[in-house]
Amino acid sequence: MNHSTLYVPKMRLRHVFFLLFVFAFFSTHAQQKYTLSGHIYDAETGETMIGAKLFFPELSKGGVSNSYGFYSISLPEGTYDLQITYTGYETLTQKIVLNNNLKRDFKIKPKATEMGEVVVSAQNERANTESTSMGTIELDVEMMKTLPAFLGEVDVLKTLQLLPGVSSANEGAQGFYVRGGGPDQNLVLLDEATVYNASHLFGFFSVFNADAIKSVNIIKGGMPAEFGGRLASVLEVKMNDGNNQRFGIDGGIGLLSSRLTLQGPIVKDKGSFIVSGRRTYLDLLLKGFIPRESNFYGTSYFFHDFTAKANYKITNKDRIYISGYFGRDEFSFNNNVDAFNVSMPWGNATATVRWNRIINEKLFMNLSGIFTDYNFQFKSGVNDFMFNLYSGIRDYGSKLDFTWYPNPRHEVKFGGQYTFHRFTPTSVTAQDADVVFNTGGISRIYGHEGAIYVQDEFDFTDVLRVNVGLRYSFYNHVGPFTRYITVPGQINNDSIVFKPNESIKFYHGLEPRANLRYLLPDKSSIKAGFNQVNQYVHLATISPTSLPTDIWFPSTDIAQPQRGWQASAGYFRNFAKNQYETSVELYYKGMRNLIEYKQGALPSDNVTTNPDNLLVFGRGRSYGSEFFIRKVSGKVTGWIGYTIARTERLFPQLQATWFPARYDRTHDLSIAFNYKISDKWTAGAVFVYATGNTMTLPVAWYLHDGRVVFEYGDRNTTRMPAYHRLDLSMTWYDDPYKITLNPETNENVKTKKRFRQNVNFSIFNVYNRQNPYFVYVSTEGNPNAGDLRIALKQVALFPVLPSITWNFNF
Amino acid sequence: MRNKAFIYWIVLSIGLLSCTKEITLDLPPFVEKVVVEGRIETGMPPYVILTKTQDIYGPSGPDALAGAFVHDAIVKVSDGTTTVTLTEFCANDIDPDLLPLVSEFLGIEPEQLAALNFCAYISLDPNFVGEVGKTYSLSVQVGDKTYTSQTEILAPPVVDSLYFKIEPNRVEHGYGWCVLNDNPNAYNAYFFETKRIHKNEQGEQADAFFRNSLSSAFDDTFFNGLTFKFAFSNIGSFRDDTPDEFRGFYKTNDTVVIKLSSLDYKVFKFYEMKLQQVANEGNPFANPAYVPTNILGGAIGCWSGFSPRYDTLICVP
Repeated sequence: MNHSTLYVPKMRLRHVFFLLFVFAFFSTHAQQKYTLSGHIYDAETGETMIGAKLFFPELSKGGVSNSYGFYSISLPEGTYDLQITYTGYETLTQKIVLNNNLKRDFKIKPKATEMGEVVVSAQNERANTESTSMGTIELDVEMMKTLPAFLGEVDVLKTLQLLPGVSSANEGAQGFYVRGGGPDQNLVLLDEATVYNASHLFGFFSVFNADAIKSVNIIKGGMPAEFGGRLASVLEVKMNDGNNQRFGIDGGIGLLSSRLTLQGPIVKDKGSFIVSGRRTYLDLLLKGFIPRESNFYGTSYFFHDFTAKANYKITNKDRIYISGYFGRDEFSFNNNVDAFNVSMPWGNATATVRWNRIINEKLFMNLSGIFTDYNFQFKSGVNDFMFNLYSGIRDYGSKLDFTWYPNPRHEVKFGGQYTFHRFTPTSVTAQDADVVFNTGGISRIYGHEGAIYVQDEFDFTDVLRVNVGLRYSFYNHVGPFTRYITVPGQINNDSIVFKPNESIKFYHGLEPRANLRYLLPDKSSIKAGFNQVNQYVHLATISPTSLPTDIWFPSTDIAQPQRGWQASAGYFRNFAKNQYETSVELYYKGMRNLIEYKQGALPSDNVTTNPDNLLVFGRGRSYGSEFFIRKVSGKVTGWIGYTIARTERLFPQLQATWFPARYDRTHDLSIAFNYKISDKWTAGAVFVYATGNTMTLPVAWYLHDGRVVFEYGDRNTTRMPAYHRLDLSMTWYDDPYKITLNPETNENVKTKKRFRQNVNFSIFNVYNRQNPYFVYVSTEGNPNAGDLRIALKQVALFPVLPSITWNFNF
Repeated sequence: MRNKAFIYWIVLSIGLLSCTKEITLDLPPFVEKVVVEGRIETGMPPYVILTKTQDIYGPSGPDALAGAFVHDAIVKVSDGTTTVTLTEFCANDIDPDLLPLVSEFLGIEPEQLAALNFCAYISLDPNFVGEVGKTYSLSVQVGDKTYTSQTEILAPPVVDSLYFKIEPNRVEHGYGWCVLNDNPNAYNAYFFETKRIHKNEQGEQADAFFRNSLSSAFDDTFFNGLTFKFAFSNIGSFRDDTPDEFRGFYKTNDTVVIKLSSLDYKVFKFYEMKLQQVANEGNPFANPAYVPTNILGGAIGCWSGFSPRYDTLICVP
């Protein structure tokens, strides 16, 4: 068995972390204190409130509810005014007499506003300047619903791509890219379960149905120790818990899809459920568009997804949650004339079971059991020839997290997690009548991945807050496994076979994390952060555009874990009573053990060998600056984000010099705004500008055997034209009130309608910009005929596209 | 293969919504290179065509093609014991009656030979022809630069049988089928070509020379040691006046000669990637297909040893 230590920080760094922890706990005052703890709920739906701020003006102290709505604050004995604030909700003020440990749940009411009023940030008003988190942005789902939507489909990922430092590769690309990281370097969590492919329809739509989502939080930098396993970012998506006060139905009908959500109490105030489904009808539309004589006749595509969640409060201290997601894309082609057929389903399934327990008023526990499955299949047949391909991932995991509130200055988190991976990078069977092709057996890769962590966020002084943590992670590649020894141009007849559970390679490493916030006298703040992360999974992309066909596989004896570090610093300031949040952040990232396919590797090469035999390994670096101005409340809300950055790669086996990454973008500007015109109308606008993507194009051509052959130049040395686009939307809301006659008083009374509806009109690409989807070298004519013509051509995908979506709830 | 289905889909999407236009982008500076297209086959003399690469933004008309030939190079081929120096011939120097013969030998349309004043270096030694089992070295001297390469003529493949099968819903059109026995004890790479030798309506041989499709180069990765059967289409029908609905098919009573050659690994990789690149034109999901070379010294292209097996199929179901 081999052991590899990825990173062992110097002893000096260990001492610093140790001293910080020790100092932190000695700073606890000896005075008698009592603890106020409990949950914060939405008064109308019973949903737990994540990130609600509790504040005691007399003490200038407070706390924030965690991701399950739980809070805990220890204070000296006394009587205090408690203020609970949450953007978009009425401030709740309560007098608290604290003379023993007290458990109190609070319900806060949404402001009496219409559906169209928008809040951009879901968290408390000063989180921007007061928290230690950097590069962390939480978006409110309601805000997403009012922005212009591509073909009427509200999309979490597309909204995230409007934030500085987050980008899409191009119009149709799958995944998103954060601060120069690859799409595999984002940890996408749906109720704590990893989602490996977060897109439908090749990246045009995300797998998250906005109706079923409670919160979306992205961490681009300064990753706290509770998270790990990905170098670039964490995208935490939490599903709605379901309304535990009354039954309700939400839905929408759009051009491409329709969706329906049902939710309601299992037992009022104790438990609730929510189920939500969505399906496209692109397959039905296509049938109408494609004539029978067309080569594409017989083409069908649709996707659907389904989410479900239930929670139940077993005792005052225990609550369980069960949630799941199932999504599928289905592409098929059946050509009866040529007896050619293709079936290609792919999708994710996740399931999470969680147990929240309040062990005592200062200690909160969450235990999760997590299941994730992603698979891709390709089945094809022509006459007697049958071809079948399968690739997939299955994870079984568990996670145990504790949050400890020893005193108002500290919030300590510690815990661990474990995942058993079963990867099937590529499994192929092929048969032609009675001839069975040699495509190898099912080659799976098994691995154990785990981590333990501890972190403490504490106020070092009144102005200096520190979040310091340490994470230890490990990965063990185990059998059964067959390692193929391949020599180009020879029969692959050498292999090493490992037995089940036999340790093949063990990796581990320490990952220090630290974030500091220093509050300046004008309430602005300076923040700095450093983190190191090890990543034990990889995504091998053979084409320049990410596809569901890309191969996921874990670290092996050949593919070492990706390792990255990031240092960042920023200045944060709010203006106009926190209506405006601004920030400037600088970052530098280093990455090692990145992967690319060898020059000339073809997808079919994966079939009879291990995928990692086809890889080369390299380094990456990324640096940049992000500027962000956000208006969080008022009639006009939204933001302007601008990033100037550079992202480069070095793969000595591909090119001796550093070259730009394919998603390197020098300039990236996003503007997203909503304007509440009246109680009935809201307007939205999105403008994006981005430097064109890099690409590798031929630099010369020649004739060989009568055919034009191209010679390619250095990697990614050509840029596509810049991408820019303006989208607009208008949303109409019906009157939320109706006038009824009170028979007792004989007076007209204004009451809230049960049935609510709105209609969103969106125009995508208003000025019909022909943004490049891809560029290729075209050869027309015939060298023999003397009319050969070679030219670069750009294909633009989407012209101006209007859409309309009707949404309702009751 | 699975990418092909995506391509279907994306082509459909693009067809419905997209817009294509010609653009100009900044490309890395153009650096001219010598291109070697050389071949030696069993029983045939070696030949080498030398050209220069062309700028993407440069002209691509007949003048550019004619101007691409490299003249006055010193080209030598050796089998280890005998070395021959190849002689440069240009189409305009050849008796026009001989052009069809040269066309068949080089696999180039007669019109192209004449129009471009096509030039090639050919061995005039009748005793120096390709032999199975021999390794042939190439040396090309252009100015003060020398480029070298080696290729081997391997044992020819074993063709088990050929047959013709009419496709469903067709009356007299179908594909040819080739059954080959793959050698289980070695890595094998193949190159498949066809030539129709029946007379067309004009009374001429249907194909002047052997033609190959974009999937002509394949190896035995998936069928090592097996009897492998594959369909082949009528490549020549895409270049003549065959109606669209019958293109790709052979017709009952057509006569086709097949040429299945063994290639060494480096030659195979060149042809595989070259054809892959041609097939990928305009495919947004395709990686840049870097075509490898077995030429040393800074030139590109390929010096190829072909070991063919010929067989004839009369298209009778």
